[in-house]
Amino acid sequence: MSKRNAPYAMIAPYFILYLAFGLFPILFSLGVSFTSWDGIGEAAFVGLKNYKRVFVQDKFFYKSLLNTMILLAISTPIQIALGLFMATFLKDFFKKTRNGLQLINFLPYITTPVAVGIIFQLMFDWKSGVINAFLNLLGIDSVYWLGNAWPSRAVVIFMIVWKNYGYMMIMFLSGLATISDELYEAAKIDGARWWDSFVRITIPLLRPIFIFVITTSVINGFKLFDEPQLLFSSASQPIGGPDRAVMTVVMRFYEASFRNFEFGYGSALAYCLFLVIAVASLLLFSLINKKKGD
Amino acid sequence: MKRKLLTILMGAAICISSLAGCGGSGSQPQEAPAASSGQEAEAQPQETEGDSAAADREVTIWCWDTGDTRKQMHDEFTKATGIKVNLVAVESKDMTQKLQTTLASGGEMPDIAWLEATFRGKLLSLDIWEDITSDPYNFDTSQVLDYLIPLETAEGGQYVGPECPSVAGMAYKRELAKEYLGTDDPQELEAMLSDWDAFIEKGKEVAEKSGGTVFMLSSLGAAGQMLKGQSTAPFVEGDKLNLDASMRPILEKLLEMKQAGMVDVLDFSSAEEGASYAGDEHIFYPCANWSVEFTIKSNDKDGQGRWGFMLPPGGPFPWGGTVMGVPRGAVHKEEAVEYIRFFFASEEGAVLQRDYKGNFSPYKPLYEDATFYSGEDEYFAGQDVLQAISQEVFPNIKGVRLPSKYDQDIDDVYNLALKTINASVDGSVSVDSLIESMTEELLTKQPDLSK
Repeated sequence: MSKRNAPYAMIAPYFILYLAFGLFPILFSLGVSFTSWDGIGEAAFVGLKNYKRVFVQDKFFYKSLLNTMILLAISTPIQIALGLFMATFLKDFFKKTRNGLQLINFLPYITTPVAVGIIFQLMFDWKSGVINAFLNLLGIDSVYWLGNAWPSRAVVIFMIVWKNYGYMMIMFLSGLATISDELYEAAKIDGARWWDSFVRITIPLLRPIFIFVITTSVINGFKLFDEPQLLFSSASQPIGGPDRAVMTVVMRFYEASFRNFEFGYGSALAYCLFLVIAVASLLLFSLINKKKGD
Repeated sequence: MKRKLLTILMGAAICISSLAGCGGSGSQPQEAPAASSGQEAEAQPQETEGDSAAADREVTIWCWDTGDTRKQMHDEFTKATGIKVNLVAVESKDMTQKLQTTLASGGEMPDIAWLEATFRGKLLSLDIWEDITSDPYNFDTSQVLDYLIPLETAEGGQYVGPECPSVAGMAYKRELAKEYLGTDDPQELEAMLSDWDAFIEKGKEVAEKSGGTVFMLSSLGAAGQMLKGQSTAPFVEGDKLNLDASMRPILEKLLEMKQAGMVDVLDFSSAEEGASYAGDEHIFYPCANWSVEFTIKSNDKDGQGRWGFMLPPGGPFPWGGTVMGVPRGAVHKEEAVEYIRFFFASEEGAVLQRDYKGNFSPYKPLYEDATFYSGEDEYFAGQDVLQAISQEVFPNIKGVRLPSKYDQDIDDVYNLALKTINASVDGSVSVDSLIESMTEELLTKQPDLSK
């Protein structure tokens, strides 16, 4: 092989794989979104009918979008705050046991989602769940966690936070490692307390990490699927829980595509979700950049 | 140089191993471990021309039961017919998707696919099935239990394939029945609980007598399973919803039961409900022929002598069932129909199904012999549950609700309604609002439907 062609040959595998498994499915699903297709017969071109159905007829799309935003708006700040505090505490107060505690806090993130779903189903069961048993000990009546709208949202938020705060913690720990100890020592000499250092040194210098975790949390939040799906996965449970309170956009997409086999409509839903994520990301970036400018 | 060669070899090994999964399955379907590789290794070198034709006699089945007893049953079939059976594990809920992706990718279709009751409506609506009553297969449906035929017929009218009949009565805990209802005799209980109104009245008495600690049923879903199974009115007629005629009576009875405080709040088919079989809080459970082994005995390990079996208020009902479908694109269709004929339309196959799997056969002539399905069951205090099912349940099945491609959506809105009733403190929900909400949801999900 000539020296001139060698670099192209080196990078070719990536582009071939990207074309086959990235670009082609993206363009193919865009094409499918303009058709009515059950995956077996011939696909019939229907123009913008699927998109019209998403925006005009499908109340589940708006409901699932609202649910996703509620879950996202509540869970994201909690998991970021928890991750940040955990990272700071581990760095400042648990120097000797830091590695062990770090692992313990990170374990939920690498636990199999199916196991998490089953464990939470059992924990929050109305009759025999450990959470209600604990509430009963305190003299509080049992709550039908998985049978009412807001309690089931609370369980899903708890699942998301429990699963993700360890990952946030790792991100913040990597950011904290880049902040020089000299800054803290100087602040200490100037009479700053722990809280002052945290607010005036740690938080401002972690800005790039904040931008990263907020952006990825928002994008992942819009793609939320595993937790609510697994919590209501048994055959006798309605999709999206009671009153469809935890039905997310991806669940609606999954239902249309892989339960009802409306691949055209499912693709249209997926592209609408893509639009929502793109708009949300743009807004977020412009907000961050505006603050940066200020 | 040596190092460079080693690097190249390792690189090649990684590439080959990572690309290995991309290879087509060709004519080597995934095999059940029943045929051990050792046996194959012995057989291959000795293969002659005549043997190669025999070796082609095989069927590949996509199913979710690939356990040892099924493999042993298939070994008997292979001995009798010379047809080898390959089992490929596919979950019931994944069957449609797997068939679709195989068709789309031009992959090898199974010779038989299992179509489970929950997903059957959608699966039967797909135009991919062979009519096994047509030439050259000529499967004789006159030998199949009559009530099953409509359940096994596709929208286009072709007969897809038979199934082991799945029917249900009601199981009860003898001790609780004796304590709260005064008897544990099945006939006396059937007379006492002859209809759902009588059942609800007795339920009120049980709730009062036990101070609300003992329930007639463990979940609303358990009650709903019986009520839904007993009614035959379609939920959708053509492209019109028929919920008022079909769903309203079911929801009304469920609400009555909730208001009477006679049904516990467990979720149907949940782990908690499974655990309740071994407890002493719930008297009755819907009980299909498969429930005896798979639900009662597996959940109540020490339950010998604790159980009884009876016909439920409103009569027995169909529950479950798995159709054997032969895809039009299958390679070994004739062998597939031979397999089906053996296991579903012959006494020899029925004996194997009964002895290895505890399944009933759809083969009509067997039910003329009352002793074909018979045996005392120690869990049921010596009661002959098999005979009760074959001689009392089957003849009393009044009808079936035809499968529909909207079945899963109907199930989903029904499950949502159950949640709403369950969550209401004392059943203070109106049936009108439930029907209205179900209608609205179904119309949103399926714009082709109308009120």
